Amino acid sequence: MKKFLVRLNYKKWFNVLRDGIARNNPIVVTVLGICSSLAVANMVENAIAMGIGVTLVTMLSSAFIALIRNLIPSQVRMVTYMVVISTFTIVFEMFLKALTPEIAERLGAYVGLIITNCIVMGRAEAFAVKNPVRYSTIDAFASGMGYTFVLIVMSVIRELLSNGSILNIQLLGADWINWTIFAIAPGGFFVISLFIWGLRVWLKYYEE
Amino acid sequence: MNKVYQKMIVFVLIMGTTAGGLLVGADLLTKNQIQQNQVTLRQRTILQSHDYDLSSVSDLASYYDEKIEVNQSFAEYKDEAILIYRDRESQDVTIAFDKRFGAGVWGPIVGYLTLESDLVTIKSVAIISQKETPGLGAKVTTAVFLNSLVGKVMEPRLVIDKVQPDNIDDLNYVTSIVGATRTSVAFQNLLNSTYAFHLPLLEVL
Repeated sequence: MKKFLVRLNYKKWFNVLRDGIARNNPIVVTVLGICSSLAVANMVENAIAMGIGVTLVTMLSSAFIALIRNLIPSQVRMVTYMVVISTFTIVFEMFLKALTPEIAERLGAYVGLIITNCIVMGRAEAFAVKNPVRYSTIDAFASGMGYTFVLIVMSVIRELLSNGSILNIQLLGADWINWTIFAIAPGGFFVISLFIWGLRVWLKYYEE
Repeated sequence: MNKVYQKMIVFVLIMGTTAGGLLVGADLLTKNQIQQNQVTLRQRTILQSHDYDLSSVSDLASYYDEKIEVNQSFAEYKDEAILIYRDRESQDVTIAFDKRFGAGVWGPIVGYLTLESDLVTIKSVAIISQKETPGLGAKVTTAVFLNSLVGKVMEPRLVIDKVQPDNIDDLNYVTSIVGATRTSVAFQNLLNSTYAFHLPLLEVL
């Protein structure tokens, strides 16, 4: 087992995966995707749905950009990322509406918000444009999972304090007074700041 | 024109065509299914508003035609037909509220208001789409809030507020959504204006 773990440390795919989820977590370390995380992480079901959407779109976009990376003229690379990301987001939304209309309705505006998520373009520019399809897809998956993990942890805290529930299941008693501020942006800032602070102390990640 | 620009233009054209092709293809593949889903959603919502159990229904469209009578012949508003859905058995009616009659804080709230056969008592309220703030105004779609409207009376008007005003009867009052006062007020106005518009039509039905 120990040998296996040591070997894993020398595999590129494992390092890419670990970095995306932990060392370079898009929210905690690179502070990307903050806007959407504040907006949607007030309910656990919203956080899960947004996490899945961002992960899928990031994977598709990164894979496609990695595939055509040698053809993209550097002058128009940002425009290319935008076209690719928005195309995949719209296609994802269309299929979601056609195949799972109930989930599409629950996600509502969130699917459109994926286009504006900095993580998708961030991974395209930082990784996919320089790496082959396989590693770019793993990197995108890892970043998406890192984002989803933070979103879910934040939303558990916020939904519990603002509604007394998790996944719409009432956990706190009837005498619980809802802390409504945790459902809106100021409460989101408070939770995410504490979360980033705590994790950075734990990971011993300090900016010079 | 040098080679760099030529390459850039060719790339942009190919990229635009590829993206356009993908979007057109996805649209062709999904358009009919999305339209069918919307029809199914409408039929299911209206049947559920009339307390029909759909768990054992295999052909929703036939069941809907069997149970619900749709009246659309006598009125139009803002270039769209006014549809009134009536339960053939109980004579309870369902009317649609949408952007023609008002909106929420961030966009239209679309759904159905079902009234008992006395035409004033709320039997159920269902929302099929809305754009309110997630976690706050979007709670307008929760069962807890929608169930609090059941049994309330639309005449003289429905009031959704934090505190019950002195001059408002219990049967006209619903507690607003905590932290979403503006959505509550917008939804109250939407329901009242929808009801006021449809009432003369319901009375002659």
